[in-house]
Formats: sequence, structure tokens, C-alpha cells
Amino acid sequence: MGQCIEKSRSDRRLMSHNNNNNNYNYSSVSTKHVKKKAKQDASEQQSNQYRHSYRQMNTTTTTLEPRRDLPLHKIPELLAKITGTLSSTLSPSSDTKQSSLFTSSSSNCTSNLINHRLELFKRYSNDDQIMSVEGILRLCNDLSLEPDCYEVLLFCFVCRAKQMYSLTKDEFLLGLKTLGNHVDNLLDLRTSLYIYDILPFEDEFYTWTYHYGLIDGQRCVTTQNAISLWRLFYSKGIKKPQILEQWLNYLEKDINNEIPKTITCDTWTIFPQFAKFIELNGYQAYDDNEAWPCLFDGFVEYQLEQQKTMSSAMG
Amino acid sequence: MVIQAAIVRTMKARQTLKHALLMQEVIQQLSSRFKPKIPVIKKCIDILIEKEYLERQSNEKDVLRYLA
Repeated sequence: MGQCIEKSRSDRRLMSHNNNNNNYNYSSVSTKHVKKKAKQDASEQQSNQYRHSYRQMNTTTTTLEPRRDLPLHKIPELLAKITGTLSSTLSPSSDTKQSSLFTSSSSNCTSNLINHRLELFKRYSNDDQIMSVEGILRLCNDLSLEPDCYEVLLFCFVCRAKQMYSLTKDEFLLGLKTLGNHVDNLLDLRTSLYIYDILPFEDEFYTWTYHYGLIDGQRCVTTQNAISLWRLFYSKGIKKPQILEQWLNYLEKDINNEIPKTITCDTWTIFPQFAKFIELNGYQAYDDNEAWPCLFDGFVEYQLEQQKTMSSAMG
Repeated sequence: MVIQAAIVRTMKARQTLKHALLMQEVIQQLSSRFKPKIPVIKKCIDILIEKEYLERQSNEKDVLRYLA
């Protein structure tokens, strides 16, 4: 990560105050507590602000309105000076963190966040609209991630990227937003990818992965790519089907030269169901007259033969 | 091809049909001409799913639906 910090002064500033924020990420219970308290503080401070601004107002104005000249994210500091208290859990320099805690953030705060994200995008894109292969590889490098690692796949999913190794500005912004309200720099991005909970989106992630694997307007994913994607998809938190390795071996070895060059979307989609069925019922229970995609017929046949030769070798 | 045509004809008429029943109907339709083998019909159904003439019903992989 050292090489990232060298990048620019603005990064260093962001990194340093984000180190404070990182403490929040790992103690979720206390984070919730802090957030609740901060929200209460925020609403108290909001009402304080109204009272405060009322005191300061000219006698000619009679309506109470939120003061538009005061940026909301500065208010805790101002109130602290007035009341002599400062919520000890909020550090004054973490502007972007506070912006996520205020329920009604002024356009000032969120635009700050978006600006940081846009700046990040611009660093890796050529024309400020699209990040292409070269930019993505640089981003992976700066994140200390291999371009073909699980976290990068996850990031592209979170962005709902349409194409492999290409990210539009909107996709990138969506990705950062989904990962967390405070994510606008490399360090936060990297951390959030490792702690992101994919389980609620597992099915969507699986389906998306197939379409992500289509290259240059292909209709079907090549068998080689499908094998790699299957391996990658199940390489981390998502539960690996028991038969996955056997299945991938079958596809790779291609004993009878009968494996097609592409894997259909149907085969990809039904595979998890198939895996579960085999886990529950075994290969014997498989009926090739049923509605399973044809590729599984060959696989089950092969597995049953293997089992037969193994048992006869032992018997 | 003949088999695929028979499948599409059947599905167009029935709109949704269980996989097993579809097989039966197709065999029946073609019975006057020849007796298609089950694996072959199955392969044709797979091809038609891939070509998006048919789709599996979500949650019910055994039920096929005709795509207009």
C-alpha cells in the first residue's frame, strides 16, 4: 500500500483521516452505537442550530429557516465552540464521515463525496467516461490486488459492470456507493471489498458472472472461461458445491472429446441446482430423461463409470 | 430440424408444458414418420432454450414456456 500513499497529497490527507474511520469498520457493534448517538446528536444539533440562528437573526426576519450560508458539516465544530462540548467520537477532520451521519445532508457534503469519487475515477480513465483495460489494471495494481482475483470480480459485480475490463463512470460510482457511504478512496475501497457481505446477492452475483464472461458480443461463454469463472466465483465466501472440482475436471480433461466449446447460459444457471441434487441424492438417482441440460448427462455417466472402475479395482 | 420444428409447434400450441409431457407429445407427433430417440429430443430442447425459443420457468426447471 506504500506505493498508493505516494500517489498524491490529497490521497495522503484522505488516507490519514480515513484511518480514524477504519476503526469504525471492525467494531460493528460500537459503530452502530456511535452512529445512533451521532444521529441523535445530529438532530439535537439541528434543533440547536435553529435556536442558535434564531438568536442571531435580525428582528426583521420572523421565519425560522435553516441557514444556507452555514455548511451543515461544519456545524458540530461551531456548536462545540459555543457550547464547549464536542462529541468525542466524531473527529473534526472527518468531513466525509459526518456527511453520512446527517439525515439531511446539504448538497455540499454529498457533492464532496461524489467529487472525491469522480477524482478517483478520472485517475484511471482515459476520457473521463470509461475506464478501460489499462486503467483497470492500474487500479488493481494500486489496490494491491491481482486483476484476476475474487475481489476484483466482486467489485465489478458491485458496479454491475456490463463488460469485462471496462467500467463506465456511472458503474464505478454505483460500485463505490454500494460498498459504503464513506468509500471514496483506495484504502476504503480495498477494505470494503474484503468485508462486503455477498450472501444476500449470491444468486444475482452468480447470474451476472456468466454475462460478465461474454466477450465482444458473444452469445455463450467459452468453456475455458466458464471453468475459470466457476473456480473464481466459488473461491471465497460462497459455499463451494461438493462436486465442483469433479465437474471442472470433467470439463477440462474432456476425455471423449465431446465437451462443447461453449457453455450455455442454461447449463450455467442450472448447475447449482444440479450440484445440490447430486449432493442430496447421489449420482445413481440422476435420471437423464428428466429436464437436466444435456451436458450433465455425460458428466454423470462418466462419474458412474469412474465409481464402477474404482469399486471393481478394490473388490 | 424436424424434431425442433415439432417441439416448437407443440409448445406454441400449449404455451407451457412439463418437460416429460413435451417429450411424449413430440414422439407422438412424429410417430407416423419415425421414432426419435429421447436423448436426441432432449438435445433439441436444449438447443431451443439456448436459441431462446423456449425458456424454463423460474423455480420450476421442469416446466417449459414458449417464447413469442
